[in-house]
Amino acid sequence: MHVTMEELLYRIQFHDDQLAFKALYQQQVFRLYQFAFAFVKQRQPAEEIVNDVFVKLWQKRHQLDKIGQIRVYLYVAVKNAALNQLRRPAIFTETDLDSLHVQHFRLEPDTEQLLLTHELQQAIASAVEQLPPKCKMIFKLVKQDELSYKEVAGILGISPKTVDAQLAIAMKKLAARLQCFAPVPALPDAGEKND
Amino acid sequence: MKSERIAVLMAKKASRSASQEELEELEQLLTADPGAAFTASIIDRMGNNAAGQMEFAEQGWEKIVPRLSAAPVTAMRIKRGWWAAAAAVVGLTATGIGWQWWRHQHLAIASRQEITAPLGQTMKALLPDGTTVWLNAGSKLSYDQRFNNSRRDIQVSGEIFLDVIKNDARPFVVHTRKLDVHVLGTSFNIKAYDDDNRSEVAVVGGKVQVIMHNSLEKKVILLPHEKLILSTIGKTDSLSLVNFPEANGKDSLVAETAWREQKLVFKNETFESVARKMERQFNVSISFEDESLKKEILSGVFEKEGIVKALKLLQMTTPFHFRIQQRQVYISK
Repeated sequence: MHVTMEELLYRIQFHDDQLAFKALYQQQVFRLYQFAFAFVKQRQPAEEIVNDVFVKLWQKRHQLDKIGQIRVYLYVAVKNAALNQLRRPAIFTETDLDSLHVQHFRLEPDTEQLLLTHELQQAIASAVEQLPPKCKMIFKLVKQDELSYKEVAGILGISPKTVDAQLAIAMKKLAARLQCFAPVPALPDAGEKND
Repeated sequence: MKSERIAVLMAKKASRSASQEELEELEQLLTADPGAAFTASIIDRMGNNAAGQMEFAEQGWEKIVPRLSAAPVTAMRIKRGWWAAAAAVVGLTATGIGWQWWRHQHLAIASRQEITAPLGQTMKALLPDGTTVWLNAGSKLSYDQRFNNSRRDIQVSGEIFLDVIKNDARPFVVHTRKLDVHVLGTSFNIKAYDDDNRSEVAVVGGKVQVIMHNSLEKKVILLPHEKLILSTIGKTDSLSLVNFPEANGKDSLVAETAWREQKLVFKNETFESVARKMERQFNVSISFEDESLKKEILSGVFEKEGIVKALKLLQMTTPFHFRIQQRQVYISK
């Protein structure tokens, strides 16, 4: 996609351009879905929340220029809708089978360059999953959704300093969990290093 | 501790808040510690798993498309509720009025007003604020309910001349595909056809500010008799500022404004560009069978002539042949 976000928004607002809107949808929908899923933990409600947000955005398209940061706006809208949903009495009582699919959306390292073993991939996924909830969410927003610390701060309503502090905790925990996979020097006389 | 520092720097790197010095510091710390470098490289490479995302988006899109054409739900519901109650009491006579009222409200919410000058015709129209607008052939202007609020925004494709009613409290902004013009009480001409690689803004009186979409920080103020030309060749835009002459009284033989009186004026323009103007003016399609003719430089004025007479006038200065089949004109040597 070679069109800038500004161009897309302009076309949506002033040309009622549905193709531009589709491009915006395609860029953002999956990330927002994952974000919604983190709150509601069910596939269908998460999908509905995100689609509702997009439909509302389309209805308000002629005021798009009044929205400062569109990405932050979308995440905040999804977050609010998800929190509202959680406050309502639960409709889904049986276990949502779809929630098992969440493993598909884990972070994937660049396998070709690292020649990761299946074991290491599992370890990475579980290391991320085992992060404390807030820490995990911030880590995913930064690494997975490529948002800046300022955007994440805006979305979660916390200070940019907290974002960096939580990220540092994530980095430390991940490093500790993944350390045992570090290649050991091949020579037998290589001493163990104590850090 | 070193691992603490590495974690802090990794965090800053990931969230794009690290300075150049901090990135260099991280680099040094990692070179000294292969174990940390290994985990850092794994974390660095973690990204989004793109597989399946497109399919997910396609399926979701199919679900929401039918919902996009519907009018805003909340606004409709409130009005319908009110209307249903009112109609029950007032009865049949009121139905017509109620319906008109509802329809008016509904349209105000959902639709854009559009003024279009068909090919071969120019048009003059009055906007809700009293601003006068002339549309050249094949041009389109639209605005929506926000026009009467704090701002006056119009969307334009083609060529228009505006005589804007001054109102400092409500800025008047013209949006085109490539640029926006902020009007500071004035009359001026905008040419921005979607199929042209050239946009022009020419000021007759007053002052405007032009903002280019491709470089939003670049703002150009134009004064009377100044014309801004934005030409796009391939992917690069180039800007030029020129002066254009004042119209002499009633005999306004200036290309920027003459079209309003159905005149087609061109001065030292290529045949190709003149042909494009003629296509709009006469609602024909012109094709060159000889490429070299496109580059011929022409000057002239047409006044409400037919296409045949106009072409014959051109033949007086430039040798070429033409034949017309229905609305298709062929130009050859």
